Amino acid sequence: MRAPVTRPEGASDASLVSVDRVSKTFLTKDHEVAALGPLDIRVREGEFLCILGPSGCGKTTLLSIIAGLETPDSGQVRFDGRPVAGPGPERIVLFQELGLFPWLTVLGNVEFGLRLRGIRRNERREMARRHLKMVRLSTFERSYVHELSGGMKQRAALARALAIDPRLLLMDEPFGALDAQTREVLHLELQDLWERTGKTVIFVTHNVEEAACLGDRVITMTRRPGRIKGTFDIRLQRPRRVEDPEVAAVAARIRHDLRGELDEAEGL
Amino acid sequence: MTRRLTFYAALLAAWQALHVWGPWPPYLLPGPLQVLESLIAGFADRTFLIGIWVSLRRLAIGYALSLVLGVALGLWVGRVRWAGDTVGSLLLGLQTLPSICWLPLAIIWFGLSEAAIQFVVIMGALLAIAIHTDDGVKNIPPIYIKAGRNMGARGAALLWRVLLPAALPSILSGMKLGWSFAWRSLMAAELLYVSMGLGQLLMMGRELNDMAQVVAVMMVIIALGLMVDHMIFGKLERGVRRRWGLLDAAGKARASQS
Repeated sequence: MRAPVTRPEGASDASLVSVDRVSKTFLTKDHEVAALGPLDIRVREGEFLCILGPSGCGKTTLLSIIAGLETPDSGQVRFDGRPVAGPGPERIVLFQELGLFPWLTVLGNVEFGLRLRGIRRNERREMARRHLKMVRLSTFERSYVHELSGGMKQRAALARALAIDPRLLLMDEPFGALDAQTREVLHLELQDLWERTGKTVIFVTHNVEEAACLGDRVITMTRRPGRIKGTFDIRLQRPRRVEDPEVAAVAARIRHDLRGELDEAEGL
Repeated sequence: MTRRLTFYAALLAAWQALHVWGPWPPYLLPGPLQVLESLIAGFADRTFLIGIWVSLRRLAIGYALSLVLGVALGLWVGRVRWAGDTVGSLLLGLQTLPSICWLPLAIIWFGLSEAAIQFVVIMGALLAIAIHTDDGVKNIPPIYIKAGRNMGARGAALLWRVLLPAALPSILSGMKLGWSFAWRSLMAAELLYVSMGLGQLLMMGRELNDMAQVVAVMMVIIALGLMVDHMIFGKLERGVRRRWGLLDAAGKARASQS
């Protein structure tokens, strides 16, 4: 693990991630659907960026493109100055569905990425255990995935991602399916982990409060095809909670800006 | 358990009654005691042991080959679109053919040899294993593959560490089905031409009019089948089900979640 990065506000011009004129179109049976962009985003090293938008605005697609799991139809993503040509262990996605492997124990899941890098068994095990401890899941290292609760699965997936020591963590609505209490606990833990590890995080959500609570910066997106609508810098002290009045005030501002974009069905 | 014991005790009694009072002369319908004697004699003079050894060795070789070839074939057909469209459909077609039907061709190609029997055994297991592997690979939730690639798995690593384990439940049912096809075709092939093995012991019993031996060998075949089913496949299946959470405490199957 690297030492926490000091991040002076807006001091560095060099972006870790730059998304330039990226767009994506999907083919359905008989016509093309413009899913995303074109849009531009810059992310500083060490930043916690939230991308907020209605369902179906292409947030997940954008994340997959940055991860290198999908290719854009136009435009380019650069990571640390180099064009992204495929997936790589420096950019790890925490998928909405997590994708924890049911045939491995929790420990086995966390070791997965380390094993691929050829790290030897003892060292690998020790690294995995350290990360499980970080997410407070040590006692469940021998459990299989189906034996974990929703929040524990999130923690396991987070440990699996962090163990690979990526520079960029891409999180795709990871807490969407959790109950409010669990989500709040994970919000605090995530902020704590982020401050301790100095990772750059891009966190996608359709939940305004969540975005306001977690982000250094929130980018709002329009309905499909998703484009950037607004940017909000949030300089509140951490750790923040969703119900903090300052966070609620920011959320209100964002919601005002987003009026008409968020789905009514989501009750926001 | 007591219910089951009572049932088998009654079955034995009925058998004995049929042997004594039934319409067939006792030498055509041997009683439980004669069969037991025949079993003991068969093991004592080692003919049964040799038969079991010969049959199981054939099965082991043929099945091992089928497993390797079948999983490889299934992966190929499941992952490569054009192979699935062409070879995949052929596999499905061929599987409808009981594998013993390959015996005439096999005898012409390989002669009355070990290879002909092996061929029939392999045709029995290979297709079932390949088809189930294909099916398993095609039905892997895409998220596992995405997550694997995301963490740096490519090529052989993706195959060994993600695709195969993710398809394992399906591969295992193919293996189980393949085993039962292989076992049945082996017995059929051994019955059809002289070749040692358990099938031949059955035919020998018939030729010598020794029905006690025939029934004794049938029992040995049943026992071996049960042993493999329960001790090997039962264990493997339970292991996989427990890991994946396909069985909960009540023993009901439920869909696994990521």
